[in-house]
Formats: sequence, C-alpha cells, structure tokens
Amino acid sequence: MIERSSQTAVHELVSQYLDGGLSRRQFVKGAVAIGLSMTTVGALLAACSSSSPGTSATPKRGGTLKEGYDLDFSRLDPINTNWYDPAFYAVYESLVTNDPSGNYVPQIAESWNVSSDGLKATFKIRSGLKFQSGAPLDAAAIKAVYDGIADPKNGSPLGSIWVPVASTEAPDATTLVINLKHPYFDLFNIVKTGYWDIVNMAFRAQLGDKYGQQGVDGSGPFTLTEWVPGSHTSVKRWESYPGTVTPFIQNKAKPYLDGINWLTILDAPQRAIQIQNGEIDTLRGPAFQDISRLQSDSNLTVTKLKEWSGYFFSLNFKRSDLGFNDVNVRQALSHAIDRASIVKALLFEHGEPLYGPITSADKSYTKDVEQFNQFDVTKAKSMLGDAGWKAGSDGILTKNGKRFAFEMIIQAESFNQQLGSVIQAQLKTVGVDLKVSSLDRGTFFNKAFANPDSVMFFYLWPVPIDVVTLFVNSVNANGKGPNWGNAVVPQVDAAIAAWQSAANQDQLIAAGKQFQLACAEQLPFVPVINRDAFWVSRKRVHGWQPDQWNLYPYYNDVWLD
Amino acid sequence: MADLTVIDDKAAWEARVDRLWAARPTRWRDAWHELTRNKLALGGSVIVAFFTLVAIVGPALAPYDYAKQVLSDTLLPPLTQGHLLGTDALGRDLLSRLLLGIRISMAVGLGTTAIALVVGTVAGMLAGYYRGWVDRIVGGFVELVWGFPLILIAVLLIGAIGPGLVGVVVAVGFVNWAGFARIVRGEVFALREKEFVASARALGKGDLDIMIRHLLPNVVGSALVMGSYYIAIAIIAEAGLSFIGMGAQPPLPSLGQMINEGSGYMLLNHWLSTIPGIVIVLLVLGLNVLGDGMRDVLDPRLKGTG
Repeated sequence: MIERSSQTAVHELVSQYLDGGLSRRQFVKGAVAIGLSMTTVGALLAACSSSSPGTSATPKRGGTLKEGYDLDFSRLDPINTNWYDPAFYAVYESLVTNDPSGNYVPQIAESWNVSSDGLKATFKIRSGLKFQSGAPLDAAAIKAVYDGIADPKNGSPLGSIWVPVASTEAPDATTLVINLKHPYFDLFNIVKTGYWDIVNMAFRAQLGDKYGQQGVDGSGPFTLTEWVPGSHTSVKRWESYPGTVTPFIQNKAKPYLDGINWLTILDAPQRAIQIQNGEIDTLRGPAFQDISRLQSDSNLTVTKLKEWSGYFFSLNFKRSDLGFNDVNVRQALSHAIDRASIVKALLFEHGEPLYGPITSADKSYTKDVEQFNQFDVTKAKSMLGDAGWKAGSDGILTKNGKRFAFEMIIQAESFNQQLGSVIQAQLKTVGVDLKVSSLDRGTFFNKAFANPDSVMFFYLWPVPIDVVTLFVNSVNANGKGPNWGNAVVPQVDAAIAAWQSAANQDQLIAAGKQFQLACAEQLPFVPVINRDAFWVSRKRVHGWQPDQWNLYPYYNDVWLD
Repeated sequence: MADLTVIDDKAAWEARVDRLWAARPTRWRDAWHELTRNKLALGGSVIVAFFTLVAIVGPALAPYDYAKQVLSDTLLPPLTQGHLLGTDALGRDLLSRLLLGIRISMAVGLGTTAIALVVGTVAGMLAGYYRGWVDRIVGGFVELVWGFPLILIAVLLIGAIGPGLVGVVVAVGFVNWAGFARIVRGEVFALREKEFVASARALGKGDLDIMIRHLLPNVVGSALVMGSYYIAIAIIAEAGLSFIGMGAQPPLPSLGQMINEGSGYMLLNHWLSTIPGIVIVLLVLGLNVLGDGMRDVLDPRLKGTG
C-alpha cells in the first residue's frame, strides 16, 4: 500500500520517469527514498514500461522543442547569409529537397523535368501556396529569389555557383523555367540548399537590413518569433500552413509542435550535460569525449552520420613574403600536419584525415588524393629549406630577415580552439610561428573577408564540391567571395568549369575527381580533417530524424511525449 | 634664554624634530616581530612563500616544454610514469604547464596590484590631503569604477586592447586602484589633522614633502594589507578572464586557462581542472590569511575583528 501522503511524491516520480527526466536507477533511488518497498518499485517500473518514452505511436500536439545548437545564429536571410541554421528548415522551404536516401523529392515544386540537351529545367510549382505574410508564393516569386541571388547588389556569397544559369522565366503562376548556359547536372544539389530557400523578396526589400533579424517571410511550417544572436532563436507554429507534399514527411498538415527554441550553446561538453539533465531535448555535435557516455544513457538516442564536410585552413596567396603563393611552401606546411594523430586524439577516431578537399563520404571521392599531403616533417623542412627558409636562433624560420610568422583566425568554439592549438604546435615543429586568434562568429566572418593571413574553417554542406568551389574559385578572391586565401590556381579553376558544365552523372564524377586532385596538389587551401556528425535526442522526442542528405532535420513530424 | 635661542634656530629645531621622529616607536620592526609570532600570518606567509618559490624556480625545473604536444599520450591520469600530474587533451604535461601557470597567475596578480597600489595610493593621498574639488574628482572616478562589475569593465577594456595578459593586467589594475584610493584617502583625511603634520607644515615643509615623508609611511601599512587581498582578487579575475578566453592565449598556460581547457573533460578527466583549481584555492587562501595576519599586526584598531 502506498500512503496517501506519499501519493503526490510517487506521481511526481513516475511522471518524471516517463518524461525522461529520471533514469531507471534514479527512479529506484527516489522510490526507495520516499519509503516504497522494492516489490512496489518493481511493480511501478513494470507499469511504466508499457508506456515508456518512445513507445507511443500516436503523435501528440503541443509543446516546445528545445534544441542545443553548436553555433551562433546567422541572420535568417537565405540570400545574404554566411551560414544557414536549423531554423531555416522550420521557416522556409525550397524548390526540392532530399529524402533520407538522397533522392530529390518535391517541396515547393511538385514535379520537374530537364530538357534532353540539359539546357532547360522546368519546375511545376504547387498552386495556391502563400508566404506566411499572405503574399502569393508562385513562380514569379521564386524567379525573383533566384534573380536576386544572381544580382551582385544583393551580396549573395554564392553567386559564383549560380553562374551556369542564363536566365529564369515564370510563364505562368505554376511554371518556373531555369535556362542554362550549358548543361549543369548539379543544379538540383544547389537549389535544394538553404541558400536557395524561397523568401518573399518584396517583404525582404521592405525590411532592408533588418530582414532575417526582426522578421522573415517564408513558407515553412513555423514563423519567427525571436532572433537573439548569441542566445536563441524561437519560432511558433504557422497556423495557416497549407501542409506539405514532400513524400517522406509523414505529417502532411500543420506541425505538431507549438514552437521550437534553438539555444546557442557553444561549449560542446555543456550541450551534453544539458541534454542529460533534460534542459534541452535535442542537440547537434556533442563533444567527442562525451559520445560514449551519451550512448550509454538510456534516456538518449545518439545518431551517427558520415559527415560530408571538413576542416581546412587557408594561406593567403598575397603573403608572397611568406611564400604562400608558392605551391612548394603550401605543400611543406601541409606535410607538417599529422592528420591521423589529430583524428585519434581530438576526434577519438570519429572522423578521418582529409588529404583532399572533400571527404570519403561523397560519391565522387577519389583515393588518389591520398598520395598528397601525407605527414612528413623531414620533407616539410626540406621543402622549406629549398624555398630559402633557414632556422633562426629561436628555431623559427627566417628569410631575408623576415620571420616565418603569421596569424590564423578561428571561431571561438571549443573544438576549433583545440584544433587551432594542434596546428599551431605542429607548424612550430618545422619552424613556423603561428598565432591563433579565436573570434566570435560575427567578428570572424568580418575579419575573414578582410584579407587575413589564414582562416581555419569548417565548411558544412551536404554536397561538398559545390561549397568548396566557393573557397577556391579565383572569381571569389579579393573580397568578392569567400576565397579568403585569395587563391588563384588555373588548374582548380579549370576543374570548377568542368564541374559546372557536367551534363550527366559520369561527367560530374569525372570533373569531381579532376577538382579533388587539383586541390590536393595545388592546395588553394590546406585540408585537415573530417569529423563524423553526431545528433542526440531525448527519448521523449519523436519524428526528429537527422539524415545524411539534409544539413538539419525537418520539424514537420516532430512531437513530444 | 639659552633654550629660546635654540628654539629660534630653525636648523636645530628641525634636527630635534628629526631625532624625535627617528626615536618614535619602531613600528615596522615591531610589526615584523609580531608578524612572526602571529600563527595566522605565519601560515599564510608559508603558503605564499611556497608558491612564490614555485613561480620563480618551477618553470626551470619543469620536466617538459609546456607547449609540447604528444597526441599519442593524451589524457593520461596523474601518477602515470613520466607525468606526475598526467597529461591534458593535447598530450601536454600537466605539471610543466602548472608550474608556468603559477608563475603567470602570480605575475598577473602582482602586476595588477602594483599598478593599482601606485595609482590608488597617489589618487587617495591627493584626495585626502587637498580635499575640496580634488577629493570630489577622485571620489567621482572611484564611484564610477565601482559602479560596474570588475569583469564587465575588464571585458570592455580587453575588447579594446585585445585579448592577452597585458590586457588583463591593465584592465584589472584599472579597476582595482579604486579600492586603494578609498582606503588611503580616508587615512590621509584623518592624518592631515594630526600634530606631526601641523608641525611639519609650520616648519614650512612642502605638500609633496609632507605627503611622502610623513603621510606615506603611515598609510603604507593599510595599503599593503589591501594589497595582499587585491593580489588574490587579481588572480581570481585573471582566472575568470582566461576562462572566457580573454586572458592568457594558447598555448600559454595560466591557472584560469588550464581550468578552461579542462572544463570539457570534468566528468571523466576531472584532474585537468581540479588540480589548477586547487592551486588557485590554496594561493588565494594563503594570500587572504596573510592579509588577515598583516592587518592584525599593522592595524591594531582592527585586531581580532577579522
């Protein structure tokens, strides 16, 4: 028998256990502490198990998902942002998206076809769609977005990968035509990303610089309520959401959640502690040293995916005094980096060395890049010596009275800081004095475009070659884009041209290999490592499914126990 | 008559005053004697002396280069062969980093306090001696500085100067001078009415001479007591600023920086943070205890009220 006075405590205990706030052990300890016998505790656990978290099949409406985010928030403007955040998947939609198997599936476009010569892509747009403001979302609205990306005055950092597009047309409300200068097999990989999410351009123009901060107007299932950089971004359910036709999303109607609150938690160990404590429901990117602990927590689900993105650092070609415009010097510095040890020590083997520009997860990856950039300190020193650098009295190389010293900027985040320290130490072994400057995200991007000596960066993109072209294409040098190293390498530019004119899958793969080899040898940037992607959710969260092909999960199906 | 003659002789009168001044109770000698008998002060002195010795000679005795990484030997626990305190996440010897970290943290503590002591003592003495508008201006600055949390002002200043130890010393010193100024001002405010100051003034001594020769020796005791506390405060402030990335920059270790670097491993490899944390606790405790003892010795009015 349970005393009536203890009933409230028992109810609270059971409720916390079912909510995932208590582990089984904590539940037993709590039950014993309030005077229950082990027999009673066993009976309660048995009763709980029939309704334990994660087993209910009926979605429930309501609740706010709290998600720990490993970065600060960029402005929610697809056209002029350096980075797109998970909130993009809540407030916007794009023409097409990927299902969990990587197939292109409808979102705003319900069907499409590409002409036999590969020069025209025609999309059938869902009829009757509206933006959250009530403005019509038709082919003309989409054309305005795509033309906006191409217009330099809008400042899109991605204009260089939209170059193959000759023009767009909207002959009627439900037909969008993209005319290409030459076949562009990769087109769909581009328009599926957050940078090509569909935004109400009239509303955007109305808000001006405040767009994406004080307001947004997309067609996703949630509307923005608050955007506070450094703290959080909040959205609430859009009650007029017309539903989705995307096949893999099971909930075709309005989302179940009342809202979502993404919290900036830059410290990875802190994110892990907060999800274990139940302060957040989901997170991206726990610290690698915490992964085994999280995997053993029965309240959590840990999802591991192969990451398509990697860490690199640029070497500003304009620092000719340091020889950064000399491929031999760049190769020498690359040979000083012990990538395998970094993967073992910092990633706990949850990743891989990066010898070329992209990771082995990509279908066009070629192992041929592994002939380059292998760890070899002796070779590195020899190459630097051949370039005229001699060790000074303090062990730092000098040439013509100039010390081999430069600054690398990194984002102020725990893993970035560790990696920066390792690169600093490994370059010192060959006589290079590297200063690592850790900057908040806003300052980092401002400084990255201001001609720094070196930038360490983690690019994040589900189809990596596209994004890598941004960092190495010579048209993006000199502040015109994110080619922060001002790299001008004709072999790389030629490979990009081949990639952007591939007419079919085979040509795309071949161009991809050409690009990788050019980058691995010529080093417009120095590749370092690739880390696996980890996602963690509490058992009370349902329908939250990160996948390999989309940068963040969709929130239409998410509901909370 | 003979006496009157002597009194009228200004030089002889000054010599007599000087003799009387020199013959006054030898406060510092007595203080040292009492300090050595004060168990509290003695305990604090031993702790501070130990860490001072470590700070001076420790880095020279370090078994490894503080920045040397061995990625195959990361997160080794204390008492591992070859690494008495283990290694950190980048395979750096924790003992070697700790020895340098103690030096850096103590140097920052002393540096900031030296700045604060000099600036605060001068400002406080001017305010207490001249009173009036000088007092109001100094008081205004003190109120302004004390109106904001130390960390906030430090973060703003370091934001302008740039992260690093120089920024920390300047920023914390800028804030802490106010404490010295207020104490010294209060002491001087009272002392300037004393007979020995009036006598000195009657003899035509200048303001600067009176402040340096007659007032400073009387306030320096209080300032030193304050200094011992403020060294501790500065060490904690440096730890806090390094913890948020504004202090010592990698790979340079300070105690706060080491706690920061280890904070991500608290659940499995807690020693990375707890060892430098314990050092900070002991160091600050030693300084505070020493300060309490010095206060008992140098300021009899407060004896036993601590």
